[in-house]
Amino acid sequence: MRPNDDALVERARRGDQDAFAALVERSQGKVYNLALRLTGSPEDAADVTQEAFLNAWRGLPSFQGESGFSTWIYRLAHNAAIDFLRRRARQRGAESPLSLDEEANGLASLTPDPAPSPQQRLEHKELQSALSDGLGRLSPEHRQALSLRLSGLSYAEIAKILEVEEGTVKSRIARARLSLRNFLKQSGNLPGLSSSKETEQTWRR
Amino acid sequence: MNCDEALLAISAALDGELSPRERAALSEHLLDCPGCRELAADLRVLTEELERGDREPPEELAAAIRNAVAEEAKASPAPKKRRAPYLRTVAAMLALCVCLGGIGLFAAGRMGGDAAGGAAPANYQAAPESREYDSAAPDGAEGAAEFSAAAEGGPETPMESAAPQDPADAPLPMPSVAPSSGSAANGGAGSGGPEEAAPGMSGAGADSGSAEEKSALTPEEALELAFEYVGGYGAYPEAVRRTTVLDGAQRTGYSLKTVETETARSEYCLHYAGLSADGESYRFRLYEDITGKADGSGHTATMNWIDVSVDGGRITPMS
Repeated sequence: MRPNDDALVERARRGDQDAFAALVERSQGKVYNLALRLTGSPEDAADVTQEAFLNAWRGLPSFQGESGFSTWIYRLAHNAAIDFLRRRARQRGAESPLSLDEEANGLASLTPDPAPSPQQRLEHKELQSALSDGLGRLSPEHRQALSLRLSGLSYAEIAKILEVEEGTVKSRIARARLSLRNFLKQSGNLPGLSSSKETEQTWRR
Repeated sequence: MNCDEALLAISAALDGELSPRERAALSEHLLDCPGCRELAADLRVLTEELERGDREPPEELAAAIRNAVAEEAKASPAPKKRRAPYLRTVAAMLALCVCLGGIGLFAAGRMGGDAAGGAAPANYQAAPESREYDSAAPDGAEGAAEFSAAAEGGPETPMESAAPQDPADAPLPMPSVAPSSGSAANGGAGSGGPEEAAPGMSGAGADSGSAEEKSALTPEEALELAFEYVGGYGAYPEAVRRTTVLDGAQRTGYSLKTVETETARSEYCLHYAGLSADGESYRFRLYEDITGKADGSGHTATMNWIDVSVDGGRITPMS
C-alpha cells in the first residue's frame, strides 16, 4: 500500500469524493487487469471495476483498514467478477461456457485451436492473446488463484479471499501455470521453448 | 522431492513463497531432472509474459466511476460513521447461525414486539447522531422507489412516511446498543470482532444524551441497519449490495457470501421483504440460495427474518 492510501481512505470515509477519486486513480489499473483476467472481456472488466469501486465507496464506513485498501479493493473486484460471471452463466442457462471443473486436470484434455501460421507464432501480440485465451480456459479455481497472484497478492492474502488454505493456493497457482504452459506449447504459442516429448509426457497429467 | 512436488516448488519460487528448506530440495531435484529444469525455464518465461500483459484501463473509466459515486452520494447519505464494534460480535453469532444452516429455519410469521426476549441482544435504542446529508439528499424518494414494488400487502405504503422530511437536519436514529445477554455475545463465535467488542457501551452514537424525535427510515437505510446487524463487512467482507428479483418483486439487499461444494453453490443473502404485518417494521429475509451444479436447479431456504422498526430504533430477529 502506498503511503498516502490511509489518509485518502480516511477522507473518503468522511464523504470526500475527491479523495476517493484519487484512490480510484491509483488503483484502477490493477483492479481493471484483475477483472480482465477473471472475465476475459475488456467491456466486462470495465463494468466489474466500476462495480468494485462502487462497493468500496459503500463499504468504506465499515472498512477496517487492517489489510490495506489495495488488498480490500482486490477482494471486492474478485467478488464483483465472480458475481458477474455467475449472473452471466445464469443468463446463458444451459449453454455452459467452455471451462474445466477438474481441479487437477487444467487444460490437458482440451484440443488447442488450429495452429497459427509460423509468422504469427513469432508475434508477441499473438502470444498475449493466446495467454488470455488460455486463462479463459482454466478452471475457475485455477484462474482466480493465478489472477490474484498476478495482481501482486501474497499466498496468504489470496487464501483469505478465496477462503482456502495457503497450501491450496500454492497448488492451484502451480497447476494453473502448468496448464497454461502446456496449452501454449500444444498450440505452438510459446516460442523459444522446447517441446520435447519427454517433457510433455512428464507434465501432461 | 518428486516431480509433482517440484512443480509446486518451482511455481512458489517464482512468487517468492519458497522456504529455504524447499529451495534446497528443489535445487537438488533439478540437478537430476531435465524435465523439471525445462519446466522451470518455461514457467519463468510464462510468468514474465503474463505480467507483461497488463493493459491500460479505458480512459473514461475513472470518470465513469466518479460519476457513479456522485450519483450514489446523491441518492443516499454520505458514508456513515463506523458502528459499535459490539455489533460485530452479534454479527459473528448470527454468522455462526448461518454457518450451521438449518438451525435457524423459521417460517414467516408475525413478529412479537420483543419476541427475541433475552436470547438476542436486539434491544436498540434510538440515539441521536448527526448524519451528513448531501445537499441533494431529499431524493430519498429515489432510493425508496427501488423498494416501491416490494412493499407487500401493507395497508400503508412506507415510502411517503419513510423519507426524512427535512434531510438537511433530520437526525437519524442510530443504534446504540444496550448491554444485554453479554455472556452469550462473548461466546466463541467472535472471529470477526476486535477485542474491544465487549458488550458494554460503545463509543459511536453514545455521546449525545438529548432525546431526539424519531424519524422514519427509508427501506434502504433500514437495509443498512439490518446488514450491520448481521455483521456488515466485518463479518462478510465480500458482501455485495445488489438488487434482485425475488418473489416477483425488485428486492434490494446484500449477497453476503457464497459457499461452494462439489455439488452445489450456496449463497447467503439478506433482502428486503416488505413491511411487517403490523406495518411498523421493515422486514428483511436472511436466506440461503442454493443452486445445484449438475442441473442448475435452485431453491431458497430462509434462515431468519430480521425486523427493523420503521424508525430504526429496534432491530429484532425472529430467533
